[in-house]
Amino acid sequence: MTEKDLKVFIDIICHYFEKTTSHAPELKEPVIELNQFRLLDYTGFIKISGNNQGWVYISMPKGMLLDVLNCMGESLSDRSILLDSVGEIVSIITSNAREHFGAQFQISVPVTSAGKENTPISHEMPRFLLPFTWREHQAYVGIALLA
Amino acid sequence: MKLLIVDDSTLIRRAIERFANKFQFDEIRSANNGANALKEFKNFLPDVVTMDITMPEMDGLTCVEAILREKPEVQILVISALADKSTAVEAIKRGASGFLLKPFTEETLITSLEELFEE
Repeated sequence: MTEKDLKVFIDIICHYFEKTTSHAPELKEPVIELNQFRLLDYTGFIKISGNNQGWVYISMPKGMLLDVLNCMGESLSDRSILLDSVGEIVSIITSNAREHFGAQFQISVPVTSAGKENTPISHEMPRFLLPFTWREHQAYVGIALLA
Repeated sequence: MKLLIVDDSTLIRRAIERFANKFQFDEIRSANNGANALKEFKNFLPDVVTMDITMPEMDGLTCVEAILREKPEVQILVISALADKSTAVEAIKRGASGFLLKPFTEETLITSLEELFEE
């Protein structure tokens, strides 16, 4: 994972929220995370295979997801639509990265979880964490990729 | 005119349905994967289909080919977040009439559907 690769994800995250909600997120300095995951209320995970192996995930508080859905004109707000939405958001962000990584950057259907404990990613796998704020909410995109 | 929306995300299916209401389709139905879409297609015989690519059961590009075998004149708009050019080219090669990149807005979806109707 190079600085250029990280910039690709930062640009995609900004584009996603600007386009779908008309509110730009503010990205903070990426950090390397080991062991304990910083997960929020709802998390969507995408498994990567092909030339790169690993995971990309987005973790968001419930209030942020509800605000995002509201901006999109979605009236549902139950647990099912929140899980579906966090999965779709991470799927779009990761799939958009194929423009940079190429068609061999193969993407799974999303795995989603509610709660701060459940992750399909090994705790030992190091990952870049991209903290960002969108309106008043703090969220994270995590990237655990082996070249 | 009838529309079939195929996407594994409820959020996306509902967004497409809201945005597509501008066109006053006689009926709109939806399916959450390629296999269910093919079953629904055979009963419903829509004029227009919006099709995601990355889905469980049967992927969207395989479903595009299967649907075109049933009704070659159907207009299929592939709507996917897969941003590499080869995916869009492959969709058109398999017979899709158009390709729209996610994330989309109401405006970009309407423009893409209008382009299908112009054809």
